[in-house]
Amino acid sequence: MEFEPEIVIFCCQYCTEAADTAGASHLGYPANIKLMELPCSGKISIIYLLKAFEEGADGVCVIGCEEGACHFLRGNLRAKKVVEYTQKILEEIGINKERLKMFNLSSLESQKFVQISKEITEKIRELGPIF
Amino acid sequence: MIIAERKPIKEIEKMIMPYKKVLIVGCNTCVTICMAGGEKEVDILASSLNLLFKSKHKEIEFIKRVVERQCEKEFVEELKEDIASVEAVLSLGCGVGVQKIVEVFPHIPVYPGLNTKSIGAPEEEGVWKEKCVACGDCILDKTGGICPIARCSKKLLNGPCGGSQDGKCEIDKNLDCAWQLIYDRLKLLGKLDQLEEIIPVRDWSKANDGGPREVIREDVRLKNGK
Amino acid sequence: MKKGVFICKCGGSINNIDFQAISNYIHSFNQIDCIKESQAFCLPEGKDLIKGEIIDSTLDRVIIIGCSLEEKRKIFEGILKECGLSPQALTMVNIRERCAWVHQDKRRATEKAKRLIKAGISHSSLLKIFEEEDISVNKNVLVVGGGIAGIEASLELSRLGCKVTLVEKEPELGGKVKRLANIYEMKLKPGEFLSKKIKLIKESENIKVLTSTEPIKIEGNLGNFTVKLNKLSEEITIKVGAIILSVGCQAKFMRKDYGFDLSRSVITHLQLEKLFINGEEIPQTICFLLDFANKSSRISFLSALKNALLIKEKVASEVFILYRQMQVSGYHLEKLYGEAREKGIIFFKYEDSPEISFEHSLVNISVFDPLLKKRVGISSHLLVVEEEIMPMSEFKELGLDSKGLYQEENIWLYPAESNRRGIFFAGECREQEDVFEALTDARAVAGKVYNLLRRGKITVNLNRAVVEVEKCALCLNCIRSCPYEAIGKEFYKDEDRYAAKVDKLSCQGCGICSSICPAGAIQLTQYENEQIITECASLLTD
Repeated sequence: MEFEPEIVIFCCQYCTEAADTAGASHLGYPANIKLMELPCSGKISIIYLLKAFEEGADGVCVIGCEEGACHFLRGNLRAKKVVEYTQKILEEIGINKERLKMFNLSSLESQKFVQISKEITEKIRELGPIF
Repeated sequence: MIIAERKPIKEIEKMIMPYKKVLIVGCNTCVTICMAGGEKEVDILASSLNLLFKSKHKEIEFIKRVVERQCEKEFVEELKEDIASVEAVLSLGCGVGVQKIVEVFPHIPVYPGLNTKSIGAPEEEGVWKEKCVACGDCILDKTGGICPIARCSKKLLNGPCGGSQDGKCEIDKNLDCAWQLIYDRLKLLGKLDQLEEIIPVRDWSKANDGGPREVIREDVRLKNGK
Repeated sequence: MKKGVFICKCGGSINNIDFQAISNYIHSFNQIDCIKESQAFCLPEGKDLIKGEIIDSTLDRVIIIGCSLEEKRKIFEGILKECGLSPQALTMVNIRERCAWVHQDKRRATEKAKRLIKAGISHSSLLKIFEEEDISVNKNVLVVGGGIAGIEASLELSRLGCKVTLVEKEPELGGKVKRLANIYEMKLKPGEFLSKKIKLIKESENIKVLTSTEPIKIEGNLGNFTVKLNKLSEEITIKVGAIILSVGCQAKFMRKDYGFDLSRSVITHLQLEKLFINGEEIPQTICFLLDFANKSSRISFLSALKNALLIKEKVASEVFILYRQMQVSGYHLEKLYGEAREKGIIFFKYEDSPEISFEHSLVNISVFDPLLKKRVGISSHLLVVEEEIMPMSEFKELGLDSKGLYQEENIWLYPAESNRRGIFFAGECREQEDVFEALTDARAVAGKVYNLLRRGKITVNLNRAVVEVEKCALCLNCIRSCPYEAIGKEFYKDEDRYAAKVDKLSCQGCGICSSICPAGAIQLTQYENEQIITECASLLTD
């Protein structure tokens, strides 16, 4: 049987609108993707990302608004830094940092959400199970 | 405050590899503030180690605690029950914290999870800089309140050297020349004449040699009831 | 805690999920007190079913499985309120847009739906309900800056019944409009227009005007600001609920951009207005140089076109306008541009900056027009150049945008607000505006302020940051990182110590502070760390 990766996307409340629009338009994306909604991508903590891997995620994404368009001014830029720092930890402990990624989109870009979902699923499928 | 940063995880891994159950202890003062050993960092380190060992099919159980001040016996003693249940302690305190745990609980191996770096202050969000080397004989009165021992690459007492350029240090272009800062400050205060005074060669015996330094306040000291 | 799960089939629109399997799955949970299914819980029968169950089974947590559309959420929250529950007790699990409608394979969609439901149930179990809270606020408003925007905002607020203190640092009101000779499409002279407005201000009982006064310190938060004012070295303290900053902007000629100085033959737009006001003679040829420093705005174009027409009509001079890109967005500007062309004003477009030299009292301008593909020489008696628009030096800590004006970047949630809740911007300090736009802007901002304060109390956001005083190490990182300056340090009497304090009304609930807190002392009420981690774990395991 083909490997089905477990993927969590931490998504800011405005970017989940893109996911919901994708749903309303019946744009398909892999069922591997599971969404966790945060008020702002700036709410993301290193521990959420690490715990997600601990609990069995093979890949984790953070999605925030486009740079310069964060509803909370610079939350998405902080998220980017948190993701980069966590990637360094992953490298330290021998986990491919490609398993964690940050994307930016606007609440209207449902197509882009679908594309990100497909892309990350393919990428993680390629990398195989985390353990 | 004391500035520290986490050791590379690989180094920590080697220390705790032989054990099955380890207590990770953070400290809620200096190292929390410099984001090296507070509750958040204890959680992050435990989680990182879990992932690391999971990938090696090994399992170590972690107990996570944070004490108010690891450098105080009374706070460290609160760990008694936890320590009884583990094989080793990984301290996310400064070097003082590690040694205090060792003093209170001499029978259990205690490992440092942090590298203690300096006495310093936050410079901007996420940046901490050394400001004091605890030399034991403060000369800040003579140097416009800026310490050349901590902040000049060459620790010059009568600077600047010839390598001070555009206010930066020749050793590191990102580093402000401490003597430029001293000059600017004294100018601001209208006390440039202070620079004409030569600071004499220091008595380094008050600094970090000849064993640990001690501070004694006799008025609060009652040894053996006397 | 009593939980009820309601499975909605969304009128049959969810067809690739095995509802039997879902139902069995939910029945396998222990601590669920009622499970109901319906074709549509958002329709009257469905709603009644939920109401009945909440009352009969004395539920205090409601989980609705179906969609998570905002308008439906409102409906269900309404039902909860009717039954005396807090809307916070509602958890909605979207198995429609986030599952059934995007995944083809029925088996996998059903498996994912189970996970989503499990996460929803764990979310619901860890939900904490907070009492809704109102905080009383001062309904008085401070308007800083007595230009046209400040005047209009004060008048509007006064009309709405708010007490306003209007402070102006100059000895009299009026601001930039005082310096204009005329206003395009307004029959009244600016002076007359202003006097009318100022008369209204003086007549209003609700407005107190303090001229030659500047604010020196703003303390407090939305609803309860304390502002220290300095009126000719006398210190006055006032308490207000909100502040409107309409401090305008500075207009300065920047020599470094042009490479030459102002002189009798080189003047700025505002100096030209002064010539008009003083009735001085306007020379025979006049040339407007626009966008030379690449910093132009359409307001400069408005000013140039308006004055060019005026000169053309009254003095019958030769008028040239040199521009890089014509910026005439907006209906009256386009019309004005058309009129200017018709009346014989000569336009030259340029790409490379024109060469300018001076000869006795004449300015020689040599410009290559890419449309004519020719170099053109103009000799003009007067060259009109632009001032650069810069922010006033006050309140820079409230955040400047990339143009150096106040907070235009924060257009997403609060287009007229500053970083600090309760402080608003109106007029040219936020964006360059013509007089009409400034009037509209000021009225809109006044309306916003009124709306915020009119009840005399404001309801606290349910989702906000709270500090666990005992754990706070007072590292100050939250204070430094809060985008809304909603956090400060405070002495807590009960705990007898200092700790961070989040202002309930200023907090917008982004959670940046809680993610940065090294002591785990700040939690977001609706997104506690434990909740998020447990919910995430539920999503990942069967």
